[in-house]
Amino acid sequence: MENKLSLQVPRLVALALLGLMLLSMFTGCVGWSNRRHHEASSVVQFLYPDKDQPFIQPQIPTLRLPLRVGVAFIPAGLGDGRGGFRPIQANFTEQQRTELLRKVAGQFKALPFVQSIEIIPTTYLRPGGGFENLDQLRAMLGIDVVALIAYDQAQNSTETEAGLAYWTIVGAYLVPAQRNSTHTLMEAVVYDIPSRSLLFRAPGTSTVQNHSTLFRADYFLQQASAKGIEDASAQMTANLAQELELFKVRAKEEPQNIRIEHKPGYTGAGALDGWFAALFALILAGRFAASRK
Amino acid sequence: MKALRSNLQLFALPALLLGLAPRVFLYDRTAIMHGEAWRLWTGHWVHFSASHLAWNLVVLLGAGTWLEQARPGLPGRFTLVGAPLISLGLLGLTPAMQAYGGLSGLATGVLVLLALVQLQARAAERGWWIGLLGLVAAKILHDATHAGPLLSRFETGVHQASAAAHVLGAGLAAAAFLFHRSAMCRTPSFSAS
Repeated sequence: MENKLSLQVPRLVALALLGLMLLSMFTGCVGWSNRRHHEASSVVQFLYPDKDQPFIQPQIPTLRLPLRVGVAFIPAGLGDGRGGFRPIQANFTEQQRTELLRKVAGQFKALPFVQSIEIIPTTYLRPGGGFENLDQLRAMLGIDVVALIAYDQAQNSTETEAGLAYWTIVGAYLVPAQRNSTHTLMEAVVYDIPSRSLLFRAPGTSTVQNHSTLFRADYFLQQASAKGIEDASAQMTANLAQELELFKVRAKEEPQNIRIEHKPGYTGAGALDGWFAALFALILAGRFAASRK
Repeated sequence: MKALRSNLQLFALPALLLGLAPRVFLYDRTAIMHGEAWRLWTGHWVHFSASHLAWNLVVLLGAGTWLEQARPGLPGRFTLVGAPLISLGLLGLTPAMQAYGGLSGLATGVLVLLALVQLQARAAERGWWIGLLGLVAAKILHDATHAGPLLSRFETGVHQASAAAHVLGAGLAAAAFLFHRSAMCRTPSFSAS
């Protein structure tokens, strides 16, 4: 009897160890299969990095035409809690940034009142550089207006009920039990540097959702990140075109909100408008009608 | 018909031809200062868009034809002398304006001249011609107070509506009218009538 018990103890210990091992694998799988990634560059953090700093009161912008416009990406980074910034690992590649900057620059180039566009390298902007940084760029590049591009991308990969298949190990390779979602927000904000005033903004958003196997989740997330950035960028550039058109109208119709001056060397036009021609025609027609009576 | 034809030859045809090489004929302050004096005349016929030309021509052909019928040859003489004088006025009054194009300065002048000639000749129609002068004054006032750029009308760049050109055109027309009237008064046939 004693001998039988002595034989069973190691077996029970072995079973308990196996159970613990499986449990740890299971919990490990759960921790491993749920993941999050967030990267962002914030206009507010860039322009107003120090919370103790008093709010900068914008003035009525005075645009001196033709404009020289700068286009730049706000550097991605997160506050370190001590007033500083730490850079983050960004999915947004340099090639994607350059391509987007070119597209945005193209939108501005089409405007008749824009003289030149400067694509500003990201290295010229300091994280949290604020308006002082923009003043430096203004002095260095001679720009009046800057279009700052910021983005925010959050990715989630969570396990669905089908994740039970991961217990089989093979299931992690074959069963698409990961639900991946990627939310991207792109935003172009256009500031008049001297007056510190926001002229207009244009957002673009994208949501990409897909399923993948556990072992292909990274690849799918990368693909979704690229697609999210591409879609949001396309929407943002389309919105930017609309906002530019609205801005042209606003600049004409709201002189109290946007002052427009001409730099020396402007071109004058001797132009008679349609309303003038119409009234002139009315007067002539009236004169004819009166002379016939 | 003859009056319309002469105005087409005077305004529309040169505007279309000079539009083929606008850089050579545009009022360009620097170029004029460097001796390219033809720009004092030709700059008025250069336009920045089809609508810019169209509206100017609509007014100019209407007023010019009427004036040609009332006083044959007067639109041509006014244009010949008025074009460089408006340009010289712009050189003096608007030093920040590097370039200028458009017939509206001359058109304003022709309109004012027509109204003054008709006011003198037809007292019964006074109301219509005073109305026309009022319209010109309103246009000048509008351009002077709404000095914003013409952001969307022209395809080639930002342009500022030049109120100075209209003021100069109207002023020159008044001077031309006084000169014309005194010249007519000296002729026996005019005095007799």
